[in-house]
Amino acid sequence: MVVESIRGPQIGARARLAYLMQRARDLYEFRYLVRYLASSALQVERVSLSFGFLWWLLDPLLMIALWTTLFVVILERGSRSSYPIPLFLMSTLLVWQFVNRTTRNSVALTHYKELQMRPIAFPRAVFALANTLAESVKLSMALAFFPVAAVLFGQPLSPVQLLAVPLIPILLTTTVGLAWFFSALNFVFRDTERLIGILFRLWMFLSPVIYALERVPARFRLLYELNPLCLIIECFREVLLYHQIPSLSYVGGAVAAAVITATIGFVFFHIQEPRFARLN
Amino acid sequence: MNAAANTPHPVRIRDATLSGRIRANLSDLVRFRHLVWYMAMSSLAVESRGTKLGRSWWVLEPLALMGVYTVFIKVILHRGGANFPLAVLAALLSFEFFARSVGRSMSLLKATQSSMLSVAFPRTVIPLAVTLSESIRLIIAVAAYIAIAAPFGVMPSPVTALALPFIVVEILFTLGASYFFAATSVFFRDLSKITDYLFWLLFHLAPGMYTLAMVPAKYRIIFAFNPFTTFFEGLRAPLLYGLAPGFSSVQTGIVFLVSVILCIAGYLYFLRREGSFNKVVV
Amino acid sequence: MESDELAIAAHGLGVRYDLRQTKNRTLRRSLAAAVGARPGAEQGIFWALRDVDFVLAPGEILGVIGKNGSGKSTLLQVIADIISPDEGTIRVVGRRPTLLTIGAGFERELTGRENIRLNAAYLGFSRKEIERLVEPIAEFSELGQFLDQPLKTYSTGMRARLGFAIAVHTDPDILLLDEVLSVGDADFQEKSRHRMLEMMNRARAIVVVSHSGEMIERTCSKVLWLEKGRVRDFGDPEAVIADYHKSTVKLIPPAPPAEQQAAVARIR
Repeated sequence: MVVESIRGPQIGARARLAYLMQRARDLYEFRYLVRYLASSALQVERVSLSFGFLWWLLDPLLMIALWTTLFVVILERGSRSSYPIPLFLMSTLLVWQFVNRTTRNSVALTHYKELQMRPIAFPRAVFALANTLAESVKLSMALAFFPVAAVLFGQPLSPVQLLAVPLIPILLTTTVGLAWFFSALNFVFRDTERLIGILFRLWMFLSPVIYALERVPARFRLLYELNPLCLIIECFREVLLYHQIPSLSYVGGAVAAAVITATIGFVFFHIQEPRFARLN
Repeated sequence: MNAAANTPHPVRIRDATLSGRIRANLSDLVRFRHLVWYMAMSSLAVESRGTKLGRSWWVLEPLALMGVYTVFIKVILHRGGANFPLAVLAALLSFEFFARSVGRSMSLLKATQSSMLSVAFPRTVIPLAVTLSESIRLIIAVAAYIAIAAPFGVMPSPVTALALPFIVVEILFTLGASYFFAATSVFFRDLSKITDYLFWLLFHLAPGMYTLAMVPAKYRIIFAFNPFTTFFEGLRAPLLYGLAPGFSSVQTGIVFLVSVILCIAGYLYFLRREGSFNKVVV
Repeated sequence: MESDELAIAAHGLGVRYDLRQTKNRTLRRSLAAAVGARPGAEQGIFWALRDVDFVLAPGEILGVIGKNGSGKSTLLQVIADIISPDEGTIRVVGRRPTLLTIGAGFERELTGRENIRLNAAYLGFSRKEIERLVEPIAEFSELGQFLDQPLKTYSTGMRARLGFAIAVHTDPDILLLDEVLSVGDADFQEKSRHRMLEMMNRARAIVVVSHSGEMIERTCSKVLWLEKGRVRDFGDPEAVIADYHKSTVKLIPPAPPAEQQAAVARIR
């Protein structure tokens, strides 16, 4: 079979759409690379650290311990909550840390690999995708630990908590969109890699991570919920902590945010991709 | 006339004892002083190359972080006192200096060990060069801070100069910590993960985002043991409030002494382990 | 032209670099020197390739010649789908146009065998193809039990061997070479040359970039001479290479000044 490719500048909406479709097909064709990158990333992490896989558990536990310290010791928030503080934080911090880490790693990795792998032609979008997959394995492990932690803090378990499983694909979709978007932005605007650390710290405070969504004053609510991560984070808290089935409007909003974010990320990434090879 | 001046070729004797190694290393450091300077300068030059905002990042980064913490404390937690953003900024300058120096010393030493194994230069220059370049950034940032604080009614006065000894001591402390963590990270690869958490705790258990007065009395003792309590106050009081740092001379004295000891001990520890760096595959 | 009579066709091909975006970077420095002489250097826009036209039929070997910075490597990158054109079109008939490289994207912490898989995956091989490729590559590299050691334990030579073994097993329809590669000791070189020739025989078309006119004249069926990003000449090797040599002869450094010659003469 003879494969033919004709390439030139994409002029006009149809040509651009055809190009994007082609890029989506390319990405599918490279699915094995995505899988292999994801599994080797996990493996590299395992062999390059003395505690290896143990870090998958240590990372979230240490993070929760630190935030709990901050909450209890310094801010004296401990007494007011009806749930144990570590559990309250865990239900959302895991999710937040997943988004934070995946996006930031993808930005750095896509840039580094672009320089390193310049002579080889393959869809550059694989790195964000592989990174999201690899991190999702760690997220799943940490989430699986949540019921154990709940029991340790004397909280009951509920089958509703299993609903966190179908929430994961929604979260992955949003995250890969963000990872694509910021990775491409980093080629246009090299300051992104530095800015993103600060941006994500701010973003965390502007998402219902260390406080519940209902604490946000009603007049800001609409604006606040435009944050693509807001509803999905709140859904995780409702399922894991409150044992409550999230309302259809929350889930629907989270799905819509995921689809929109992923689409914008994909389109932006591939509009910018032809420029990657020309930048250093 | 000493013997060395008459020898046509410099003779290098490697003495395995610690005192011999210190002597050799100190003379190496003198010989490689240009490398230290060059490494520091080139890292300053390269760091923001390619970014649109370039070197303004040196000031913009702490300013942006200040904004983030202000949102967190003021808007979300409804806390914070007068001149809160500037109070946070002083702490951030001081802390970012420390965290960046140690972090970069670790990563640069590791990178050297994996890619420049065959180039024999004394590895002790690495933490030195990193701390030097970060110190230059710190001093520029402090100068910018004085300029930023002026519109808020904080005019430079002779008291401002009191910040200087605190900065010097923090630099010594940071250099010692850089030597210690860099040397350890070659052998223990998880260290950079641990320091992430350790530094987070060091920052949050010091009066950085809040003043000591906001901390419940029963927990205040923890803060007394954190050297950053002294460093933050030492920068903040003279620069922001135009006051001499207000703690007991005992606490200040201890922190000064600890910093000097850490600097020397860190250097010696690095030197002791340097011999086996090249035997580890990083 | 029908697909089966065609391997590569470029029509009005142009690639543009925007120097304002690469401000302060090394690329700019290297390109900026060239810009002064270029016609298309208006306002920081630099055409690495412009109005490039040529057609290559299946079975042909195209040699690309030209001075440093004339756009040779950019042309390879365009054919390999690393850079997309800003003007005109490039038509490539054949699967997986591959620019042969050694060891790009090796991962230090992974073993040799794992790196073979990873590299093959980057090149776009499917899972089944990779399974088929791993053993021949492993055997070709002659690295034996080292293949199960992490790459960081390899010497430079071993790493190059592994990279080369992968490169010569890629078997692309369109083979792109930036200078002819050679690696290893005499035995390994002989084996590689053999394998490379096999791969060249199987390829639908080959594009070689080289500084050596002699090598191009010996192996190529067509020659493309680039100058400042434009086609200076395209055609049969003998004629083009002869002209190329004529133009480069001028570049031989001028004789040293008379007094220097006199000084040298005195010494002799």
